Amino acid sequence: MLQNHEVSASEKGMSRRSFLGYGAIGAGLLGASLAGCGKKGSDATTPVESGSDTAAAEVDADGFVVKATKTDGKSADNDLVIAIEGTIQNLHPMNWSDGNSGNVCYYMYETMVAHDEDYNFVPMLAESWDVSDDALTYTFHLRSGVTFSDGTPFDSSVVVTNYNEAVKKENGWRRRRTFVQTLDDGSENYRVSKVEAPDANTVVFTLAAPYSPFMNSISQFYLINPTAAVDPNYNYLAQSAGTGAFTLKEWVNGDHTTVVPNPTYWGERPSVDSVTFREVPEAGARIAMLQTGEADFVYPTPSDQIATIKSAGDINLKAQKSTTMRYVTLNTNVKELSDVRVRQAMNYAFDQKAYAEVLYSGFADPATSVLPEKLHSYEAQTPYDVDLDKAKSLLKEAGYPDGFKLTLWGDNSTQETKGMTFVMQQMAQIGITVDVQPMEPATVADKTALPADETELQMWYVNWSQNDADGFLRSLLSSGMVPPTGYNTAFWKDDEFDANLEKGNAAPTQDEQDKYYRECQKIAWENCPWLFLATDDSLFSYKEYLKGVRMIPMGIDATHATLER
Amino acid sequence: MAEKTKLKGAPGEGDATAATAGAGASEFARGEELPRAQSPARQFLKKFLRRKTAVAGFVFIVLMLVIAVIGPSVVPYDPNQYDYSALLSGPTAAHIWGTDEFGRDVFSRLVAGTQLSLGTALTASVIGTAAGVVFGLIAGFCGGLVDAFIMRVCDVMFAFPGILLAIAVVAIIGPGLTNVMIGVAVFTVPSFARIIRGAVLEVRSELYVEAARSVGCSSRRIMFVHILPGTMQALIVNFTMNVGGAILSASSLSFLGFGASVTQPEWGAMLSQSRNYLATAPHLVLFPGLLIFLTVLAFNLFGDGLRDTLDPKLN
Repeated sequence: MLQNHEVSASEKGMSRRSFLGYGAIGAGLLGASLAGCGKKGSDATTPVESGSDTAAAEVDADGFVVKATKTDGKSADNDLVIAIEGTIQNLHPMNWSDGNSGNVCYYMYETMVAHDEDYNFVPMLAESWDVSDDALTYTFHLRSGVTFSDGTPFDSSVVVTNYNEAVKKENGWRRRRTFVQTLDDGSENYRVSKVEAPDANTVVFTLAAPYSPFMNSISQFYLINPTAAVDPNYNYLAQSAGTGAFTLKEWVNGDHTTVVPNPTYWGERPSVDSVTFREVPEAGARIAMLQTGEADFVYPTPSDQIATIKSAGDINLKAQKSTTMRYVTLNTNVKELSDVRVRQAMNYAFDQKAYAEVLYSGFADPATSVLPEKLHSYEAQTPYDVDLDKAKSLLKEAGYPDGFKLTLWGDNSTQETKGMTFVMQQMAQIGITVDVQPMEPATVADKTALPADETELQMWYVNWSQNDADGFLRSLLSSGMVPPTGYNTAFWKDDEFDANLEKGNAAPTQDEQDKYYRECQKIAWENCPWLFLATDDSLFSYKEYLKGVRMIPMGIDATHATLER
Repeated sequence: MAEKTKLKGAPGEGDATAATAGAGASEFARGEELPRAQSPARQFLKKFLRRKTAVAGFVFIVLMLVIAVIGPSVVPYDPNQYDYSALLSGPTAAHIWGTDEFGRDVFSRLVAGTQLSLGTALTASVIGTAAGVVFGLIAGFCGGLVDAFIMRVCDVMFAFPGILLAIAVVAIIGPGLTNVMIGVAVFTVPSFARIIRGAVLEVRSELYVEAARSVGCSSRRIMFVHILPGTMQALIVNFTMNVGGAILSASSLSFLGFGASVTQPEWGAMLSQSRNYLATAPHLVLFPGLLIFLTVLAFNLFGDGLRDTLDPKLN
């Protein structure tokens, strides 16, 4: 069911894109001639150069890159519009596959435990929780007086029902893997041995073995109205079934998703009348929308638009270190890429600093591990400093002195396409010819989800964001997580890595866990299942009259936003 | 027989007028004693040269064709050579049309791209025209059910805007420059089929065709040897006009990501990659946009001039 649905979404997305693009040609040609009339080329580039040279140094203590100079702007309405780059494809809170969908789910659904900005666990639907000394029993004390948006009361039985549905194999929810581990031989290991509800406000999870990322699993365990959760045909794109501050008003494929305040919300009511996520793949168009007031908030903001934002005067631009890791998966089943020397050679050829500069105007840090620097377990590895001679000799050793040809997949947004072109240029230095193939995001998602014997994937330009090490190491690199189960699209399998990961999972303390996770990082870094690129800063820009929006691990949090009118 | 030899010569460069200027003109061409007759080529040239805009278009086209052939070997920079220290620089002495988001020389890329863009458009036009001519000839010559069938299919295709049809074709057979050629060719077919059919209907009743039929020529022979040359004028004019449209369509498809790879210096693809910098580095869209605009304009002006010169009704 869900699979089919996604395919149809991608087809519709295609026609919309074509249509938009067609109109854009005219606009582009017209714009070209108009722009040509007004400005001489040499003048026009000055702001760009100054923007990219000094931008990185200009981030102030509060994270402002550009601070609005006009502060008397007023919003025309009380409807918040957020322009985003990607698409929203699935609003099932336990089955979404793309970050934007997950972000919207955050507005409508809640978990027992949430993360704050510093990645600490904070109460949400659970007011408090206890963990037993043997780290096997987790007891959650639930908030009382909470109801779902249709009036159904929230209690401990709801949590039990949701858990049972989440781990049910035939449901196929993507978040199932936070509770169930798939081993390399295809067998399954349930992390939780039982879930009980001793009274209406208490839920007890008993683990089969200590599992330190369990609290993180709980922080992603969105609770759904039980009537919807048990209904396999419930349409999450037509209505929502959560306890959150917002409910779904409408989802229009390939265009926008609007949520409105939930009248029965247990917490503080949102002050805006609605929040709309508008899908705008063109970076320039997003900024234009912000200038005209059509959008109030833009994420991501392309770094090459800083000059435009500065000249607008009523827009704030902020930079924040992120947990987004950008990399290119190297399918280790491809003949040439199966040789670790080839993969290392590619990393020696790739200039990460130039990448950060060309793609993000310096608003990015070269990747120094498979984990982003912000995560607790992160440890810096020995960087693959650019060394073309070494890269070439490694290729020669591996038997490819004249290089070879590979295809590179990725999303077709302007920024991703630019990144892929950069990879092509870098690889050309050592004779590897890269065929850049940008595709519709939904098409890429489908094509990269195929199992090893069916996939045509060779290289995938992609990024990943998670707030804990397990969310990176297990989801992207463990052998049980190869497609279609997870996102180990390098099809990289390393027993030592897997063993360390398991030990890390079972470790009782954070320090001990980090020890194993550091070992994992070392193994992965030396084996190069990826071309390591960078961690880019979150750059978000918004109208000066918009207050109270923050970036959290789930994405954009505008639940407490206010618009000055 | 004499008639036939004349007509055979018709498709030659300046002789395009021979067929429709009529059989009379060709008789004079042979008569040495009669007052000096102007050769059709000379006549054509004289009329054509009077149309200054058409001449300008023609000169520009020739220039672009020369660039397409020798351009890639004389450009100042390798079109794919990046320079990360000179990103998005405006026109300077070193880079007369500036550099793009990877510091590549825009001028060199555009020159190198001429071959791709012009080649795609011309190939697509040739394929589309050839197919259109065949269908048009068959429809016009056979008439009846065959005619009705071909023309109704053409009507269906006409119902779609050309670019949409091309997008549909490319969406089915996959992206790539070769497939763009096919896509553009497909939507070229119906217009040529219709034009040629019209011309055939006109020529078909001419005396020389009737004569050919009465001496027992085969249908195929009549179609290709007697009728086709008679439609040559309409063909040349429309072909020229079509190339302009094909350049625009092929560039549009590349702009949309269906055609050239984003890494190739095809004009439409370059425009597509540059659209983000419309506000910050307008030279990136200005030059490819201008080049597409001028080339399309040149083909249209040249086509207009040809039509005006060749059409006896307008003289």
